[in-house]
Amino acid sequence: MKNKKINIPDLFKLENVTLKRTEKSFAQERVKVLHENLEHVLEFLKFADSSYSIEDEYNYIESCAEKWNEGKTFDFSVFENSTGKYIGSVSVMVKSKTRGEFEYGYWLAKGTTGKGYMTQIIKALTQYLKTEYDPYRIIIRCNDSNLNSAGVALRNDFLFEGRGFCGDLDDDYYTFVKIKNIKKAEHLKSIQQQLKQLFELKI
Amino acid sequence: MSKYNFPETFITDRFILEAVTPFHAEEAYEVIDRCRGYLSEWLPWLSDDYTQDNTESFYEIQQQNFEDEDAFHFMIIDKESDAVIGSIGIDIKDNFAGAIGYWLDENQQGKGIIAECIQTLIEFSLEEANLIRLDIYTELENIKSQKVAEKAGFVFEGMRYSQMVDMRSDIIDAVRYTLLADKTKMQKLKELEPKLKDVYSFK
Repeated sequence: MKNKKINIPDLFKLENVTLKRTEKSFAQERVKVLHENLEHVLEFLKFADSSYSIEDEYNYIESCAEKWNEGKTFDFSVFENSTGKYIGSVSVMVKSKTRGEFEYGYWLAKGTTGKGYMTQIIKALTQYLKTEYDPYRIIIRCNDSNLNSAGVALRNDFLFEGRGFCGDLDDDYYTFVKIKNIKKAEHLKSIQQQLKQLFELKI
Repeated sequence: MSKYNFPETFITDRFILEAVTPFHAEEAYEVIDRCRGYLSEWLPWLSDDYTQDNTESFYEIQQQNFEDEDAFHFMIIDKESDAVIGSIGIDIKDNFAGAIGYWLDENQQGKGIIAECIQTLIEFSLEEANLIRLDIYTELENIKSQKVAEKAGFVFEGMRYSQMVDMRSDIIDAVRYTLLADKTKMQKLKELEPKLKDVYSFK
């Protein structure tokens, strides 16, 4: 993977949702949904507050385009197939091309969680990454109170690796990981219960 | 507006830490090249074909990173001899969280140099730059580096599987040590440490 430029398709059409590369035409809808879900989003993520404007969103989308073209981060807007509405976002971040390491970040609007959408998305993205890039390590990190997010990771057979204290702006977070190395994955699997107990992961 | 306010120079008892620039490349490379066999054991970027040009390019990037506040890398300069003897730096990983890395001239080992320099960086990072977390990642076999981390007050936080590349370009596990600004969480981590080492089978 070391010398291969990372490219991810602009579109993933799944059973219940469609991922579209984030673009400026989505800005209004994205800001509207963000503000409708601000309390829900701010519980676990810190990328916006009540002052977040359409201008901020245009700037963000511009930086998304840059990072996409550089092959560093791939930001998708998630649309619900049944309604056509924007319901959230998911990013694929290239942590290290040399090490073959990726990380996912995601959130969904309240009212669209609990339907298996994010589980479906992570499954599809992971399948794609495995086929194209055979990564050594894929990470999901979530706020240690965000058991929904932890559930998405575990349902996609990610293994609990540990807890980071004081992550993004002081919240503690859990790390879940998919490791290519079978022996290491087996070892990590064998200590799951002990780690969950030590780090108080109740799921 | 500066987020972290790192100065370009630190003065310790015996050393000057100077923000890296391409100007340092020639002298730094002389040391790296002389100690190549010794340094390459733990520095995966130090391949057989690593040249002064590579050093210069890297330092150009680091100069920009310093300006962008993505990383703060310093040359370690001996006050008495005015010679470059190593490098130490912080890569910003999350908001107000960074990872420390360093290398030192083989002939300067065992004199408490990294301990002195790391202490200066830690104090500034936690007290002035308001970083909330500092990490040190080491290879499993790099006992010296683990001792440096422990002496500096870092605590074993866990293993990160398949997160590093060694000099043979093999993907290997990382040991993560952490130092937190939050004293209560730091105490909690210290209490967890022996159990964590046990669960991860870390000796």
